Amino acid sequence: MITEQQVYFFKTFGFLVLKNVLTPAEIKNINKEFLVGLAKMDETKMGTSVRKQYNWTNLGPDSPFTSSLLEDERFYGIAQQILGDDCVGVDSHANQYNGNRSPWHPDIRELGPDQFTGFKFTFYLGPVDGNSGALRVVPGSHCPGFSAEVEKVFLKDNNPGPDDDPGLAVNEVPAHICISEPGDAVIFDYFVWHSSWGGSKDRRMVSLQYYKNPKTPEEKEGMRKMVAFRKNFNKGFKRETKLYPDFWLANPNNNVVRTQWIEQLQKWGFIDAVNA
Amino acid sequence: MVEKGQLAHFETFGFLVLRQVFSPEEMKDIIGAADEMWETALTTNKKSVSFVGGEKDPGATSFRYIVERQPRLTKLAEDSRIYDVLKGLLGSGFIWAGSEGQRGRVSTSWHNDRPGKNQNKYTRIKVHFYIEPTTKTTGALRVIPGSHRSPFHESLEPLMNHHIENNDSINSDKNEIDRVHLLPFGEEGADIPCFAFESNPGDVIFFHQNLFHAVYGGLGEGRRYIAMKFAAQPTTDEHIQFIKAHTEYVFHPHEDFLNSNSPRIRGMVENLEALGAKVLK
Repeated sequence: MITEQQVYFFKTFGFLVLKNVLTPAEIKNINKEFLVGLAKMDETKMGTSVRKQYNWTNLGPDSPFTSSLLEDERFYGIAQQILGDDCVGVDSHANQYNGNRSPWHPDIRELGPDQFTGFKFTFYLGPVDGNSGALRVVPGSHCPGFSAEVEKVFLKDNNPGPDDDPGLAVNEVPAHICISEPGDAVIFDYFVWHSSWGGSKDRRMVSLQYYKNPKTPEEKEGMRKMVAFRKNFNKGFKRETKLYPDFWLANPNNNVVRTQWIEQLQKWGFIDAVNA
Repeated sequence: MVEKGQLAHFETFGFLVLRQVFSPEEMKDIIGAADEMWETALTTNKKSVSFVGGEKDPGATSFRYIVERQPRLTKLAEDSRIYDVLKGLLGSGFIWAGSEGQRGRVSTSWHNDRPGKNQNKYTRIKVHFYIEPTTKTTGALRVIPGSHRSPFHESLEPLMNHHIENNDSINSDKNEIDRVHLLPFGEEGADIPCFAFESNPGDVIFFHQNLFHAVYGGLGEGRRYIAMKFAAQPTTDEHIQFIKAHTEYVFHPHEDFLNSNSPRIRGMVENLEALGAKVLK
């Protein structure tokens, strides 16, 4: 659980850093499972952007501990505080970055905050700071209006200006740097602009992702768009396994929370869309 | 002029930093002129000085009209390296809105200079020249990028309450429990996410006065800066009311500016007479 002030911090700035939420033993366990997944990667599966990223799901049989974190009260409880009791855990990914930066972007551009609400926990498995790949965020940039304004700023990597005004490098954008040690978590809103700078090879991060259950007509329409968006988005990654593996869908421990989530994800058409 | 990218930066983040606008030789002259004014003010013209540090920082002083009173500083206001940028950010017809020199303030909690409903719709800019090198923990101006924009701006307003309660010159009797309860985000001011304008003499920052800003970890008596303030040409009654609410003195421009030989300087103050301005006596 987080305090009321932390909830307000998150809603205002679009991110929150939580210190020491996982124990060293848990980090060791996540790393062990991470290496099993990484062993199945090869250069053909590496993303083509400057991130040089491998990305795979944690919901398969290779990573039972990591996938269980999605249902862990320490994280699901926080998601409920922010998104409501009936929020849904939708995903857990493992990522290995081998590029020296991630250009600035929000995770979602296609929808507005009135149509969709969600966030992800990120856990960096090694220490990261401003010059070694820590997450950088523009605080408050998830706010309507502000996010659209950031689109107008010239950015060298992905929105360059003319030759005499090429724009800002990743580390020149005014931002907050989320310094993180193994065991810490950084939560951030899907709409917040974020990046990283100076990352070395083999930078490891795992994520947990939660969506608000749509209630209003705008949110329900937003979820329909989100399903379509995720279907296309996933085509950008070279994965061999389904995002929702049979192992996770079988729910071998009959976890009540997961049962509810699977029902909800099926109702949205999410599982069929991303597994297609 | 400002480049398109610089304008987008200012409009998006609420500030613009220009590095090494003034050479070391120029800064030496600026610093010398400012020091002369400070010394004169503290010894012979104490009415022009406000003690702004309260019990925490009794030596902290703010000196108004420092730029207007000293010709070597006045030239900063018409220098093309400043003036043309302001024209690009504020448009033609922008007006002079005063100056100040600050010395020795150790810290200033989070605030914006022009609080109030819709105040952020009327752009007013403060230009800071720091006289000593500053870092995040030694007196650098911290800003929350984009915090001049609604609705982000309004969501940060609880910081203003904390600023008022945390200002010793306003309230010196509060206790620790009250102080902690006043932390709206559960973080001390020094830990609020921000961009720190770490600077060297010669660097200049232009910032929207509705941008939330603060300073933590000052240089003690050694921290000094000169600030000039400007506003977009007021075009509505609301703009006039906004100016009156926060900076009535804008309508009482210094006579040296009204009588200036510089068309740029005069142009920033002479049209105010139509709005009821009177010469400072």
